[in-house]
Amino acid sequence: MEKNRTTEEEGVIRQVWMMFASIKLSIIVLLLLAATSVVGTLIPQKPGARPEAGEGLWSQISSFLYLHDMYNSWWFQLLLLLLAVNLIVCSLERLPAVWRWVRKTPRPPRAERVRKLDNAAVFVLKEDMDKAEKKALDALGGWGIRTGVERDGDARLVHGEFGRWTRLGVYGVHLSVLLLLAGGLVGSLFGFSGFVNIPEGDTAHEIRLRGGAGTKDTGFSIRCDSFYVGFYPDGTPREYRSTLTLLDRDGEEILTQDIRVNHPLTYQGVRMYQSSYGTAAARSVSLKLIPEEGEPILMTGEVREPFSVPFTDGHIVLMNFMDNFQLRGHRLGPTFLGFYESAEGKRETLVLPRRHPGFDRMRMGERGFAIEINDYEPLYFTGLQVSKDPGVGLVYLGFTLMLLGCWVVFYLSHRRIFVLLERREDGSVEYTLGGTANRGHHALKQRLVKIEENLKKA
Amino acid sequence: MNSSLILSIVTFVYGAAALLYISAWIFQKPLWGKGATALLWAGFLGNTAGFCLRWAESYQMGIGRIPLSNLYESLVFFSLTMAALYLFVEWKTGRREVGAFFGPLIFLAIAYASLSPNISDQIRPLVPALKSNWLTIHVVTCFLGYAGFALAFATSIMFLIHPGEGSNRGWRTRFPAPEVLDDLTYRMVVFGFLFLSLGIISGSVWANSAWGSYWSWDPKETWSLITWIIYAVLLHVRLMRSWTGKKIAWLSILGFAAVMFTYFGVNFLPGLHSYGSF
Repeated sequence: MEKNRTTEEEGVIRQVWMMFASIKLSIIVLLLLAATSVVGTLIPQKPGARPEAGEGLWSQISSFLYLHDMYNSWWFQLLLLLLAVNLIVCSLERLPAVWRWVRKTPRPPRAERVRKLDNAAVFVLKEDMDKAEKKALDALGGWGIRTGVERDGDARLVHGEFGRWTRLGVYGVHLSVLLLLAGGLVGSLFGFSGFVNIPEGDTAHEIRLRGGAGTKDTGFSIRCDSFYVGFYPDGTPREYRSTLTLLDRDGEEILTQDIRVNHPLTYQGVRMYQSSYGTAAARSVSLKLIPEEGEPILMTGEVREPFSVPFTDGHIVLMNFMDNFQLRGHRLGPTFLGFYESAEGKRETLVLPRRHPGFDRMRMGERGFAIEINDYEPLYFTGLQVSKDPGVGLVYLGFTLMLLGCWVVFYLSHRRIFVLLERREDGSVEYTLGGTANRGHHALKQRLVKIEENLKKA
Repeated sequence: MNSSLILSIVTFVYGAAALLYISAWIFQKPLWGKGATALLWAGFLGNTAGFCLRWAESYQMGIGRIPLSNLYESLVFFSLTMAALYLFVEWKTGRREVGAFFGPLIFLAIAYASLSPNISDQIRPLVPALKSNWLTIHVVTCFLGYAGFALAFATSIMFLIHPGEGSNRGWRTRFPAPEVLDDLTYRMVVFGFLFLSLGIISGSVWANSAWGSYWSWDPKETWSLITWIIYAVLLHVRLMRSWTGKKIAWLSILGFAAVMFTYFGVNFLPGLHSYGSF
């Protein structure tokens, strides 16, 4: 009884093992990954967001299945895990047998088997046996090919073998997929990714993590020395460039470097990417004052410094610059906010959008003149993406292995080619040429035709 | 003479070549077939010339970039890769019937670029995100992959409408034998798969240097992965389960549908790859 139960248990374990080793499971998991990935491209993804489960059934389901962030959901990760287990088990199941193949030098076949190969070609040449043997050896030889000769009475078998190791190619591809998954896991466990906006001249050492996951200290400070944006004549942006200086905890400068899109800065595994920019403040402003009668005048000054108005003896103070000011739901773009104080001391709020010069004219009331922003010199902020991903090395290793593995699987094979030489009564030699391959029979056939041509040459 | 004009002429040359391939096959005129090949070569050379001229024009405009960065340029290049691959396969196999099915695809891609009013043929400067040597590698490998899958699509269709060997009725028997078509489908899928892998990988390495993440589940990325998975499944069932014939042909058609969605359909979804959509 006891023994029976163990064998029964072993049977069940074996069955589960074989299920994980099956190609059927691989295909089902791959197709499920493909099918569910479609869903994520149709429903907008908001990684990190955690919408509350609402009242309706749909929102309950959607929340349970993480449809707003499905590539990070429990079930998608489970599918990836299933793929990894499947790859490992099916490789472990098949690898030992393949390894024995690869280790063992196969014995040359008997003459009978060579004659029965379905690609065997037979032809007769009038020549000496030793010369034929040498010619056959030359025809089979080449880079990475192991050749040999078996002599059995009047018959000789010249054989060549290539690429026993190529039988391992498919496991290289499987390993590469595992490396990609492992790299992704390492990145999500030990890496981070976030953003920081730094105005020119300012320093930051904390970033906002992606998906609202709080902030993170990078371990060093980043100072934005300057930011530059260049345009093509048609107004398309040509280049965004930030000059960054990294500082250690004590404020000592470590290095200064320019970064551009596609040219990040890496320090201690942390990479800083040029991601966005904007205007943080105005260095100086040029105002255009337009009286109801007479010529307009231009005045240049700074934010928070009063501008004296010659025609009223009052003054203007600009308090604030907003990169994208919104007034009652209207986006006004870059806008200065401030006030006008008349000679009598009466204050009036000013809203001066750069792109809408007529805005103040409509509101100027009894002031007697209108104000426009003629120009301003912006103080930019640079938007950096700051991230660290220690899994990238594994992923790149996986990429390399996948390409090499696919090349081996699709274009190389374990090939054995035989030339059987038998002396005929009239003194000539009968050649039987054939070969075997574990895949790529078409390519083998072409190779055999080539060899036959070479053998028939004098 | 500018590149747009040359490429418009090439469109008609490709169209004529496709018509001649179809006529040669239906009316069994080997000489017409040779003419079709000559026309396709002419189209291919013109296509290459147009591509290079557009490159030179961008330097004259002070922009100076390889013409591979918007929908117009990618369609022109798609025709170029398809024509190159087809001419190579025709030279290797010595069969012209595939041209009757594949020629129209070569024509359609460039015709869409030249004739659609929604696609601008203006040379625009590169935005900073696209200024990278990876652009060339990424686009060239992806479109070689697409060309392989497109040719596999054509041979799969031919396989499915082939009445079977031995049947001696009708125009469809003038196809290459079913096993030849099946083998060609497989080879083209392998070619496409290798280049799609290279394309995805180069894109991923590029994304890591431009955006700081090698994979972002952007719709185009995701759809290229879906495409990759479909062809990976095709290769597995073929090599491990010895599937051939009809089942492989249908899978290859499904894969090509995914390729087309990756190329065009994704433009209707929001994402990082918006460059290619206009």
